[in-house]
Amino acid sequence: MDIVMRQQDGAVIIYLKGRLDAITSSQFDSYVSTIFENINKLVIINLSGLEYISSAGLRSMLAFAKQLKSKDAKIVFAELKGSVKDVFRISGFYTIFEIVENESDAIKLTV
Amino acid sequence: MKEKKLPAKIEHLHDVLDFITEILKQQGINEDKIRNMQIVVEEVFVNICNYSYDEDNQGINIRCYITDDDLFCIEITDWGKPFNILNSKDPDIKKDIDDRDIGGLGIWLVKNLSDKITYKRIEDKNILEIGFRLSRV
Repeated sequence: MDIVMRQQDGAVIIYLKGRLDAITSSQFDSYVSTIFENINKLVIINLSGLEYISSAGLRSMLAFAKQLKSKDAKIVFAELKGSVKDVFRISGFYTIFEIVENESDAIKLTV
Repeated sequence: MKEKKLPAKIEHLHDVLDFITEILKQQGINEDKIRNMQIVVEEVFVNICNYSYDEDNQGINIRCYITDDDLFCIEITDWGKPFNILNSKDPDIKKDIDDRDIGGLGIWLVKNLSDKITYKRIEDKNILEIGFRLSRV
C-alpha cells in the first residue's frame, strides 16, 4: 500500500493506494501517528486509489477517527469506489462518517 | 475442484488470497466481486490465525468448487477450537464513533458479502463452507 500526504487550506489530505488489509493496516497506523501533530482541524482521506479494505483497515480508520475526535478534528472520506464502497456501506460508515464524492467537496468544509 | 493446505499464520494471508484469486480469475468473475470474496476469505483466515490454535498450529485447508446450483463455494477447514461464526453476535453498526468498538466487523463482513454459510464441526475439524452466487460478466 502507498500512502501520500499533502496539506491544503488547513486540511491534511491522505491518499491511500492499493490494499488495506491485515498485513498493511499497521503501516497506516504508524503513518498516521507520525503525522498526527500536523493535523489541525480537518483530515481528508482520499480513497480513489484504494481497491481493497478488510476489517483490519476499518479498525484502523475507527481508531484514527477516535484519536482525531479527542483533538476536535474532523475526518472526511472522499472518492470511494467499488468494493471499498460496499464495505463502508455494510459497516455503517456512511452513517457515522462524512463521506463525499469528490475531494474538492471535502476541502470546502474547512472554510 | 482445487484445494491447498497452508499454515495458519498471518504472513501467509497473501498466499491464501493468491490461491483463490487465480481460480476466480479463471472463472471470469469481475474484479470487485473477487475483492469482496477475498475480504471474506481474509476475515475467516485471520480469525483462525488469531484464535483457533493455542499451540500445535495445524494450518488450514482451503477448497474451491462450484455446486450444481451454480454457487461458487470456498470451504475452509481448520483443526482448532470449535467456532461457529454463525453464532457470533452482530455489531451495532448504528452507534456513533464514541460508542463504537473498533473491532468486530470481520465476521459481519463475512455474513454480508456472501450468499450462503454452512458450518460443521466434524470430529476435530471446523468446516466452514461459504457460497457466492455468481453473476458472470
